[in-house]
Amino acid sequence: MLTKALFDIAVALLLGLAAVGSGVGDGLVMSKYVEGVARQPEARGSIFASALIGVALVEAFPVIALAFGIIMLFTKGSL
Amino acid sequence: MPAFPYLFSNSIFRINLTTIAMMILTGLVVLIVLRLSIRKLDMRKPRGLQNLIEWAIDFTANMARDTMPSEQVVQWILPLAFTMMIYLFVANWLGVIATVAIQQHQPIPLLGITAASLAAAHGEVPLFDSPTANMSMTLGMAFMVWVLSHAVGLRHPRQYFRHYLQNPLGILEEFTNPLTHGMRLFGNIFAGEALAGVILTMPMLFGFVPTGFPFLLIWLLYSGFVSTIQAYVFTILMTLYVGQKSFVGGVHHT
Repeated sequence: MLTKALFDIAVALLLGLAAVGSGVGDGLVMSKYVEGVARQPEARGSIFASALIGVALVEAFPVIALAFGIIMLFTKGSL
Repeated sequence: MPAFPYLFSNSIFRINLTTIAMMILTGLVVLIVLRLSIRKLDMRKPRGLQNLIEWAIDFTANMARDTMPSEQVVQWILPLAFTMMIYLFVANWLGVIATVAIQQHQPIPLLGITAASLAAAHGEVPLFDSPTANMSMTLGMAFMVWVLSHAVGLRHPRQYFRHYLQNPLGILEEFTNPLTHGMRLFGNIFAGEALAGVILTMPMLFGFVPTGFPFLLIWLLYSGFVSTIQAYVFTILMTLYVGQKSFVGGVHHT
């Protein structure tokens, strides 16, 4: 019972820190995107494509942590 | 974790039958769609599906040109890059379109569905989901890309070894690049499917009003978007990794 509870707390920590990392990284990419569009509004389309690819690359590790957290939640924690 | 049907379930080479069946299904879908597109082949005025596939090939060629050293290598990698992109697009979208699982209460020892795994999965045996939601499949593809890049690099052994002598920390990249390459795709697709499953177990208001329906809709739309982006990111990283090691034309990379 205690082991399950400890694993629940571990999963919560894992997902929380992954969300922090993801939020900070995406915020940096998107702020640069908005700055770039403010400088040159015609380049909106191509910079948007690069911004989305940047988000996908930055979110790689947080989403790996999310996948591990979900696996741990289903095998060792409650649920 | 759901109880998948396995072959050779007691050894380390166990084969996940659902994933294998889904990979074959994806291959069939890609084959049929591409075959249908060349039915009425019109070179001067392409229309319909042929126009769409030609746009996709142009898109892939432009994407490969940014990351590869010369036009010759782009033409060499174009079939693999295009196939990889279309295959991953279909494979990732299969989980968004449908996920089918059956409730199984009798253990089937021949297929590796034991009583313990059924108890851990609450009797859920999945039959239809994304093949890329399996860690082995995505890491297998990343390993294939890794082997391919080294095979291409070893065609020019002098530049290949000089690249490693110049920066020895490149050895570390050989471990982290395939690992993140595969795990990025796995994490995105698996988290999407698992969260969709959790939303489906949301209790309904008054017993019949589906409160989880808007959440599910929004999450499925986002999952479809992520599926497309991840197929594109996997392919562009594949061309990048192969292009970094293909020293065709004597081009030097830093």
